[in-house]
Amino acid sequence: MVSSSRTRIMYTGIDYTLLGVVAIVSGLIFWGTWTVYKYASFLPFGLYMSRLLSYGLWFIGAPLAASLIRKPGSAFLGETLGALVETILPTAGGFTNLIYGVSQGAASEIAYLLFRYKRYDMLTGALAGALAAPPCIALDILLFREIFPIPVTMMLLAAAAASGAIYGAIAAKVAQTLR
Amino acid sequence: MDKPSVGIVFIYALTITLLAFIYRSGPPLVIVALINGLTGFTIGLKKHRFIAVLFLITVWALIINAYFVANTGEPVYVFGSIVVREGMVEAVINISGRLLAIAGAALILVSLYTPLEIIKGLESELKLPKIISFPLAYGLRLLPIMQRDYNEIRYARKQRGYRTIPITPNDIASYLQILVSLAIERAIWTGIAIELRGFHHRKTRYRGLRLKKIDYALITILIIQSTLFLIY
Repeated sequence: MVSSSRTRIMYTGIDYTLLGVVAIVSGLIFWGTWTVYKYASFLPFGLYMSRLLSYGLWFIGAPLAASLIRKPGSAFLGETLGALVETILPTAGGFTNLIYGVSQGAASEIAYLLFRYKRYDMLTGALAGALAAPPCIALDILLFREIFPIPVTMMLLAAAAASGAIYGAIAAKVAQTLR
Repeated sequence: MDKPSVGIVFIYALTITLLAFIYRSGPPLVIVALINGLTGFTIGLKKHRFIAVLFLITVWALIINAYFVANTGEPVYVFGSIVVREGMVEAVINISGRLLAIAGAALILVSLYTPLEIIKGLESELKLPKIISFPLAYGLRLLPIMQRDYNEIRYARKQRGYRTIPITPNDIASYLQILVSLAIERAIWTGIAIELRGFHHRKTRYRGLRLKKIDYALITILIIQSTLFLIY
């Protein structure tokens, strides 16, 4: 995590405002994803389809922020701030969004840490998106007691990770184009 | 009537969310859900109807899911060929109760204050760091501008005979690309402007929490709800 003293040195005013843009864009995406998730639940194989179609959208804040700002901690902040916007807009998830946002942001940050904050391409974007899946599924189990047999849980994890990877790569590509 | 402090309501809503997960079933969960759900939806229904619709869809999906997954135990109701059993009723009450408490607590906070008031309050009362409060405040100020841009794109598309409601990925991209690139352009210039005004030398003034009578009342209600497990 970024300490406050380092933050003052590292983050410029432009980074703050870019974070603001990412927060509001991802917050709005997170807010809209609730509708996608609810309707996808009614599709055939709804349990898996809802994860595949929507979970990646909930992980998009981290790769978007990191690929735009390209500084340590930006992935965590992008996801957390997006979740905070989603909370205060608000959605039916209330403050659980914030708990999810913090844990997913921390997991996505690992992807950039693994490459020592030197690569911000589509591959790292995809990895950041995919890495957000395990804490998300773990929180589903812990908080909402979505306990399924192990093979089903692994399939759900795979669906969430695949979704995260696809949307993460898209977010990184979009950020590259915008930069 | 005086409004409670943002910081206290924030702590209240966060604690209620945690309580909804701690009280997994039984009377404490039902009481917490009813208190907060009814209060939240009474205060916020007019402003946030979308949440009520989303909540109803969730409960409907929950009923269908519980029928297939948790319909076990003694029969409670029989509607023709559909038999509702104890397990299903229990699952629906527990999960919808938890969701009602969570959504209600969030609605109490967001209905009493505007998002900007929440951010300002959290910064001055709970010492939210500048790296979180500033981007949020900036982002929220950007929303009406983005709304204006969105209307302009819609108008331009209408003039060219394109769909105004984005349906296909191409439609969505044509909206998003312009909206985000304009927002980024603005953000860069705002960033430069705030740096020139000595943003990094600005010190945040923290007011701290100054509790009023209504804050004490809210804390008391929270304590009562937190100790419900002692009674049941």
